[in-house]
Amino acid sequence: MKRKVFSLVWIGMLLLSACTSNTPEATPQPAANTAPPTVEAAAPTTAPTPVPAESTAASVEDRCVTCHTDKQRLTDTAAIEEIAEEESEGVG
Amino acid sequence: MAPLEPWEKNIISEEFFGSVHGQAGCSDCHGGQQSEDKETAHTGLIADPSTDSQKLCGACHAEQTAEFPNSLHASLAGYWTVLDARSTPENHPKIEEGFNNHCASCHTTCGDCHIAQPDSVGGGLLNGHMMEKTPPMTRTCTACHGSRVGNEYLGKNEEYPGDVHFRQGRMNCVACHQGVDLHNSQGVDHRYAGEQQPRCENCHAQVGTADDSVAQHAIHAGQLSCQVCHSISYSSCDSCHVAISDTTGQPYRKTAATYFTFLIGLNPRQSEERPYKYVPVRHIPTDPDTFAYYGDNLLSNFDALPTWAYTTPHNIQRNTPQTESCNSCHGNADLFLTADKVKPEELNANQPVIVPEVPAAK
Repeated sequence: MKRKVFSLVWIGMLLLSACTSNTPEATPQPAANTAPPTVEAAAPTTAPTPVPAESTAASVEDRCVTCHTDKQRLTDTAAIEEIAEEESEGVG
Repeated sequence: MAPLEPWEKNIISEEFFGSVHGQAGCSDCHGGQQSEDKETAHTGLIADPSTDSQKLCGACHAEQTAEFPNSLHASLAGYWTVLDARSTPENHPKIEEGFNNHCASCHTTCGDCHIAQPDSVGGGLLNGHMMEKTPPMTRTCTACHGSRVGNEYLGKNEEYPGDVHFRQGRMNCVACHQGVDLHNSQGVDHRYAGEQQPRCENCHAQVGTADDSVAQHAIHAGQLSCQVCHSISYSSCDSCHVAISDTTGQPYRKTAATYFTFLIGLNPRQSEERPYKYVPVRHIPTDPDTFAYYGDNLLSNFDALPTWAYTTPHNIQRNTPQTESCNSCHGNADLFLTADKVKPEELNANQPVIVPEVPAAK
């Protein structure tokens, strides 16, 4: 009986130790994960990396400018002005 | 002034993008939408962002815009001063409707002078969206002030020379009407109220002093405005009527007559700044039925103000028929607004300006 109880306790300790032994290793190390990027990691390249938000803004402005610097496009897209018969008489 | 082609009105120059104002994004001022499609791109477009001058332009030009909303150019208060005087409060809503349809386009924004031609002459960028510190005279100032001031000053009235300041001095409007006066009307409600600015004496400082070789200046000092002796015939107009067209739905006006006169009347706006007894008077295009399309008898106090109004013709000459001799004016009834020259139905309105007795001949 004693041997049976001892075996169960031993097995139980083994199982418990198996559950707890890996926990500290699974916890992320704060120091390792919050460290700021090194200068070397942020070193500039020859061409600036585009930032998505800015490139969107630039393309918006380009659409205005593209049309409003293009004589032909302004001519092609101009609204047809219906010239109403002028009924006014005399100076204003 | 020939109208601009549609593309001319809207094309932006390369130069603009190198200017200070060109550093802002288009939509920062004009709003609109992101699209290649014109209609979509123009959804929510603010064509003239300077309508709110203090919010946009005032961010950098606070001094110039501080009083601009109260200036006569922006508020058109001068119109309401005379319309209020000639009407009663219960008629104001109908007059306001007519005013908005026919008169309010004279309202001026910062952009109407410094970026684009005024809407009243078709609009369109002046110079590829560049900001013009000094607005071009004929495309902005006389584009609006054209039928009287512009034509007189530039000599466009047949048989009458242009103003000496233009013919010989090549002076543009802002040479006399400085920006500060155009941006700030000093709280006045009429162009001939408040300080007289500009004054001829600002440049002609010797007039009336001991150094002045013209004796008549001292003799007539304070009695005659400068224009009494130094302007020539100018245009007068009769009875402007306004209405909305049955066929086009567009507002229109009909002015009965335009003619040239030079008439000296009594000064109806005598003040410390304008002490003159005599001034030139011009018939203005109004009559009791000007707004009849909008209701009956809306100008029910029409006789409260003269129809021959104080004027400052912009056709100044050193020598005029009046400067030839004393009796060019003295004893010459032809030059004075006497009762016989006023329409019978306007006699009451013009009592303040009718000259009862012509100065005697010398």
